Amino acid sequence: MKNHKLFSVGRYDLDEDLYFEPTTHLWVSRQADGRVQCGFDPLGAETSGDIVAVSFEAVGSVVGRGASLGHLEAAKFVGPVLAPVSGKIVAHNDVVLANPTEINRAPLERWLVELEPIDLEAELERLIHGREQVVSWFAAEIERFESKGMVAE
Amino acid sequence: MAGIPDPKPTLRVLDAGTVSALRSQCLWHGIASAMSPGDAPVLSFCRPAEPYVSIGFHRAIEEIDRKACRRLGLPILRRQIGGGPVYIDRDQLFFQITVPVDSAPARVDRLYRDYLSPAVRAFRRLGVDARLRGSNDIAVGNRRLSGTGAGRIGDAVTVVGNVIFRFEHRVMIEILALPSEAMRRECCRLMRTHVSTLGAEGADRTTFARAREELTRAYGEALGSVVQTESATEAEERAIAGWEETLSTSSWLWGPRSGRWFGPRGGRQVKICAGVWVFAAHRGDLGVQMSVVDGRLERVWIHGAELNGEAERLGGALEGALAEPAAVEKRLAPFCETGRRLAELVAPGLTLH
Repeated sequence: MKNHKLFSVGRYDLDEDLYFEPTTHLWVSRQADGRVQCGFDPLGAETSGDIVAVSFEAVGSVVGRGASLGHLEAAKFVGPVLAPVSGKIVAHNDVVLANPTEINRAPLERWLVELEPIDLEAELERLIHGREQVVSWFAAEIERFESKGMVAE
Repeated sequence: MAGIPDPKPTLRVLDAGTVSALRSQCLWHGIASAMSPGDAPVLSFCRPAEPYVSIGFHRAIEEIDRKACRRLGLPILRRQIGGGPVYIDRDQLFFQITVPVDSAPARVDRLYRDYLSPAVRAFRRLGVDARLRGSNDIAVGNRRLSGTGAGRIGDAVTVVGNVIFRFEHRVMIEILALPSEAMRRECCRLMRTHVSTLGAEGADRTTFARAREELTRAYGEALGSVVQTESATEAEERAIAGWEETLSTSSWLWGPRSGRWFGPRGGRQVKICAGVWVFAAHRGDLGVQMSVVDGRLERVWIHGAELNGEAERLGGALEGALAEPAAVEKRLAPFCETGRRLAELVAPGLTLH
């Protein structure tokens, strides 16, 4: 079982090992075999609403950073899940396909897809990583979301 | 330049009029695809020339009775927004408000509140006591008046709705694949009670033109914009044509999740409107069908070969119960093992999926 290095910002738990995409609120986790997994951070999951369905591009598809990895649905809204890094999709998480509400319940534990990255080192530089940087960014995001009424205060 | 106020923003209004079934879906997919950051919002309208069935992006095609659709001559089109299968015909005016993603709220309930409130205002000006019910139903009391949905397509977010002048409840039910005629009858009963129309709500003299006019006025006011009636641009026409190709393919129609039943496991659930649904399930010799209306089990039918005349008592015990596992278990506790099995069977249908 993975040893999470968790810390909190406000009422949200985050993981020190993760890299965060600042606009789409997705996280990227480096795996020992060179692949990466990605999922929603707690703000991304919360603002999505109660997720009732999720679908992904086929295994083997190659997606660029910012392109659609798939779609999720909440309250009859369908939106794309935008790839935080580019790569080839090598696996879907069957747990979230079968129980999409798991994304809302445990966003850091529920990866969506696994990618074989194409240009990882360069693209990770565009993500936010390290406790100090993440705390600063995430606290500002909480404030921004609260000021717009996008999350409960 | 100092002293000269910024010009008021523009709301482009595109009225496509009466169009083919395919174009009535692709119009707003294309408008959204062609939208870039900073573009003016677009309010679009259309009516389908012929009836058809539309199914939400993630729903299984198996939810639709395709034989019935063939018999009735109804094409099926999958849309890139959510929700279940719906029957659509020329007695419905579609409206869509499409805005750049950066100017839309990121939170779904806020998106609906901001972009459906003008439609509610328009309904009220048409003389109907409409309100937002749940996150995204436009309703009069507990009767749905407009089906809505939303999605992000490209760099735009679109919120769609319809103004239903008349509705063929019977056809809507006929196109659904359901496990029994009893469920079909119950869905039909609830749909007649909870899915309404402008005509049924006393606004039967409203014309399509008047509805368009009030929607345009309400969205113009809400966005603080100058309304500008236009035709689709070349880029929008190209995008609409591209979507017409996509929506015509069988792979698109099949959808990303076909074969994966949407909704509770071990049962069939049909949503009628916010807070109202029918659920049916069976396991072994025990079966249940129940209607949930505003948080309570309104009607319950139980069947089972070995219930020894208890089916009616079991159903009666559940009717009126809160649609919550604890309330159901309490009502069924006197029925021992049968009650426990029934509580398990009912549980997935207590929430709307």
